[in-house]
Amino acid sequence: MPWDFALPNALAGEADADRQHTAAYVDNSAFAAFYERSARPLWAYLVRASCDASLADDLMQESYVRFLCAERAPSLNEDGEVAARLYLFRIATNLLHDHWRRPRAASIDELPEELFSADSNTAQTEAQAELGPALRRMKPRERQLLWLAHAEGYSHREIAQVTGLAAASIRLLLFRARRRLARILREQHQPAGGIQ
Amino acid sequence: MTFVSCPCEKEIRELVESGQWPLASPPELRDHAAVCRTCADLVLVASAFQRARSTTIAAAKPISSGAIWWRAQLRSRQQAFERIERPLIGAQVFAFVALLVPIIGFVAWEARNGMAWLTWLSKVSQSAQLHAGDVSASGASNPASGLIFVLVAAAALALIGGVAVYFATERK
Repeated sequence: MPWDFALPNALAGEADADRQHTAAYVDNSAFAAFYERSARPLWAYLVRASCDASLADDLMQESYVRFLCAERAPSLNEDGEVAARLYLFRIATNLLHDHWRRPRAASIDELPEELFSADSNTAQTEAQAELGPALRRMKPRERQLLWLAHAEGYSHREIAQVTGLAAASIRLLLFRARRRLARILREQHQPAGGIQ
Repeated sequence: MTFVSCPCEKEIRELVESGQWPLASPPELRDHAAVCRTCADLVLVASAFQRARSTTIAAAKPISSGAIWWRAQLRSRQQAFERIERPLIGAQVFAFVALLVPIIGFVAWEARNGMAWLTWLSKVSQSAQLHAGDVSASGASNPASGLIFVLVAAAALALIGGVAVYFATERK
């Protein structure tokens, strides 16, 4: 057991062996490797689903902290990597939902930094110009589903685990979202007043 | 909107996600995607997401894992403290009740003796010729000594109670 967690364990008087297998008790190097592999995809998911980079930063950090403190988080060994990643995305999705449920602030201080900065490179700008406006016209849940399916490559069952939706409805929801987004993208590519 | 599934969907999706679409894909699939609305949508959307994923991941600047690790440790400790504070609050309540019950009992007991004390006080006021020796001769049964005892006991209990509450509420 790492010494860092000996204190709370002793204070709590817990000798529960099951807790030794939770993510809170993984060693730092295992977590660092997992973080290295999953942090960027998670941030990409959050920033595309929320359309807010600073919010994505906050939610990503909070997701990892909750993952490490969760008693039922999957272990970070080789077998549990996929499950751990799904669990992490599930936490992030729940945090996003919590954020959307809260009343919105209209203060200029809370607007995303990207609205005022112009430090993105050309490739980013092109990708944002292509997908960003189209995604903003989609519902948050549609953005999540599309990103998980087509950017992360998750199956319907895995998307159901992450979002908490019924696995049977994912297929139909994805179909509708994809068709809607495809229509928006075609509209963007067509010049104004162009022939259908 | 009618849900339309296509048998080529899975294969095309795998080709797009692996980066093999369209150059390394079979020509018949490309021809199919040109006429199938479902597959055309899939190609358009999946390609856009693959490009967006690579650029977004490249733009990500995550903080170090050590900082996250440290925050998780702090929160873990905080949760541990909260777990041990719960029984501590129960102990505080118990200590308060344990302090209060003897005080109430003692006050009740003294209230009963207070009647005799009042009787004695009225006798004192009525009898101007009472000698001081009479008072001291009454000894332990004299209500005046009971009053002093009550005051001393109340002061001691207040002092002990204050110290007990201080130690019980001091957390760190």
